[in-house]
Parts: sequence; C-alpha cells; structure tokens
Amino acid sequence: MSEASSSTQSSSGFNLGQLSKALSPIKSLVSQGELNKENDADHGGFWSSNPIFQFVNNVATTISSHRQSLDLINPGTMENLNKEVEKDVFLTQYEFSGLRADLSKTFAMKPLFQVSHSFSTGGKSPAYAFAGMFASDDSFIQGTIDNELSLTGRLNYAWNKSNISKVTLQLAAGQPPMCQIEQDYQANDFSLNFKTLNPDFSGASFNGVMVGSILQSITPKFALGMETAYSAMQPGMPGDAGISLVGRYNNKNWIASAQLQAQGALTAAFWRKVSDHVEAGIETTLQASYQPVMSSMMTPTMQAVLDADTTIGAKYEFRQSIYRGQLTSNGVASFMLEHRILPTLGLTFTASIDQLKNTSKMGLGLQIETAGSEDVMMMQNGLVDADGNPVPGAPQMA
Amino acid sequence: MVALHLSEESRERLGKVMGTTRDIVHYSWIPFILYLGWASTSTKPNFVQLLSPFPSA
Repeated sequence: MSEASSSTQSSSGFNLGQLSKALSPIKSLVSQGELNKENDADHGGFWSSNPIFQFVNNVATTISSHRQSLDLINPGTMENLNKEVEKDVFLTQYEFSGLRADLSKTFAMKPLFQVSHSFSTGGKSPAYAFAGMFASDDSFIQGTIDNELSLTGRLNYAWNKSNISKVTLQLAAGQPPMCQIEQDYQANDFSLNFKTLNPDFSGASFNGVMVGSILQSITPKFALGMETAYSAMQPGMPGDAGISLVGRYNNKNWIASAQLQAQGALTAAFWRKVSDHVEAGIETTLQASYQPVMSSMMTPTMQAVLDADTTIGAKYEFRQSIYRGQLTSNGVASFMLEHRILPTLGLTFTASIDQLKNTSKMGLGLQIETAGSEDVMMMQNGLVDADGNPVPGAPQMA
Repeated sequence: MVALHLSEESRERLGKVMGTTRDIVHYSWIPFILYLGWASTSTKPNFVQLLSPFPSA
C-alpha cells in the first residue's frame, strides 16, 4: 500500500484502497506500481488497449473487487423484510376459526408431489378445498380449488440460482381475475424485485399495478432498500405513485427492521432469539392519515389523525409442538398450539379474545398425512430418511 | 406509460381471447399439476388413488 492510501485510511477510517487510485483522473498523482502489473495482461485487444476503455475497465474491476472485499451478503427479499416477526413469531397468518381437517397424501418426495383435501366448518374458509402441489429442484407449482370453483394458483420457476420468476393467480367465477407476475433477482449483495398485478396495456393508458424494489446490503449486517409502486386501477383515472423506504439490521440473534410507506405509515419491528427454543417479536405501526372529523360545532372538518398499533408476541418451540402467543395494543390476546401427536397426525388449536369488543373465536384443526407409495409410507413412519436410506436405530422391515 | 392504442374491434377480440385463456387456465391448472406429479412418480398411481385421501400403499 502506498503512503497516500494509508493516510486516507487513518484520517477517515474508511479504506478506499484501489478505488481512489483508479478514480484519480491523472494517473501519475498516485503510485501506479500495482495497477500497471495488473493491467499488463490485458494489453492487446482494442477494447483494453484504448486508454478510455482501459480507464473504464480499471474503474469497473476496482469497484467490483472493492465491493467483494466488503464481505457483503445477500440481504434477503423485500417480502421477507420482517418475516421473522410477522411470519415466524406472530400467529395472525395461521389463525382460523371453526373446525378444520386437512388430509394430505404424498406420492413422492423427490420431486415432491402431494395432493390434499381440506374440510372446514364454522369458519370463513370454504367447506371443501382440493389442493395439488408439485416441487422439483427448479420449479414449484401449486393450486387450490374449492367447492365454489375458485382457484388459487402459484407457479415459481428458477432460471438459475439467482433468477426466479413467479406467477400468482386467483380466479373465481363472477369475480375479476387476479394475476400477478413477479421477477426476483438475488445477487451477492443486493436483491431486485419487479412485479406487476393485472397488467393491461390494451387501453389508452396502462392499467394495473407495477412495483419495483431494491434491497442493498451496506455492511454485512445492515441493508437499506427502496420500493416504488405505480397503480392505475380505474380506467380514465390518473395513476398513483409512491416510494417506500426500508431498512433492516440483522445481528444473528436479533433483527430490527423499519419501513416508511408512501401512504404515511411507519412500521418498525424487532425480533430476538431469547434462547434456543424461544423467539420473541414486537411490531409497531404508526399510520398518519387525513380524515373528516366532527368538530365541537358539529361541522365536519378535515384533521390529521395518527393511529398507532403495537403487537407483541412470543414463540416456543418444543420437540413435538410449537406454541405461539401474542397481545395487541387494541386488546386482542391470542394463542395457538400446534402439536404433532404421531409422525402422521397433527393437531392445531387456536383461540383469540378481543377484550375491548368482548368477542372471541376459536379454531381446532386436524392434519393427517397419508402415503401414496410404499417409499413415502416408510419415510413417514421414520424408517427411512428423505433419500431412501435406512434410519439408524429404526426397526427394519423384513 | 406504454399503450397499444387498439381499435374498438381488436380490443373486443383481445377481451374474448383473454376470457377464454382465463377459463382454460381456471379448469386445467389442477389437472396439469396432477399430470406433472403423476408423470414424475415411479409408481404411476391410478385416477382413484390420485384423488382419494386414503393411503394407497
């Protein structure tokens, strides 16, 4: 390292290294020893001998090597920004009411092929639904059709390790169809995502929703991102556009994330692994909006309203069961217990009570897994593992 | 934004094509999954085995 770069390092605490040399317009200002050695090899073709392209190539390689020296990792996707809190710890997504039974039948493990029948009563879910799922190394296709013939479909295809295309469909008789097309690109230190919902180019102007987002790792633990959405749902009406800003700090055993949405909502979430089997999470949403309110003179006036909601939850993972509990600031306490009685039989119990509205709901679910082939049956009973090799210590079939 | 500026007639035709495509996707999505899965298994379960929730091994 030259004198110049070591002094930069000590003064600002930030090592630009090769970058400062390559970006310097006059090469003789900084020592060129190392740079020249690297470039000797590519003298030859027009594209590398040309001084302008040589400079551009130099800058590009130094930027990329500097970027690699930062040891950044992929920050995950925008969708999973606060996954640990919202999808892992909180039970809002898994809650149901009434009785439910899921009978799923697996025919093969590699590639995975499974069909399932769900029966439900007393809740919001349809009385009967049939689902099929097929998953191989690069593709995933899933579909659910219920007794009212409404279909939910999902198709993912991985072109390579970092490029995934996704299609989500919702078709129901007598209802407008919903189709979402999505493209995910996950590079070494950033994630890009483009999606469009019900795109329609046939009218006088674009109709539908388009969302583009980027999440970039700044340090190995910290990532910043931005999301831009354009939505034009009604023909003839001008579209809406908005920008959301997000940030996420992942310190292995705790994760903090924040999201500032274009509509004026701020969401902050914090997740912590308390011990090996216990996780806890808290999420706060602040929503600022402009609403008409009755003033003391009984005349409606517009006034800025600030709503805040906080949810706190915990998840306990035991050997054969998972317990989740959560409490929200508007007085709803809920809990959920998932228990695996046998390798092929599971029981789910969920209950929630709204203390302020004095309402409650309860759900009981049964999951039965059956086998469509002998291999899968042996695996489900713990005799062989997913690759078909005998499990050590398990009784062997004759 | 990009727009195609189609005539009224072709818009109508496009609407019909989209409607038919929607119906085809609606009623062939699940059979397509079942076919993909059936073709990938070595045991080639029959139709009843494929649709019944009871174990078939």
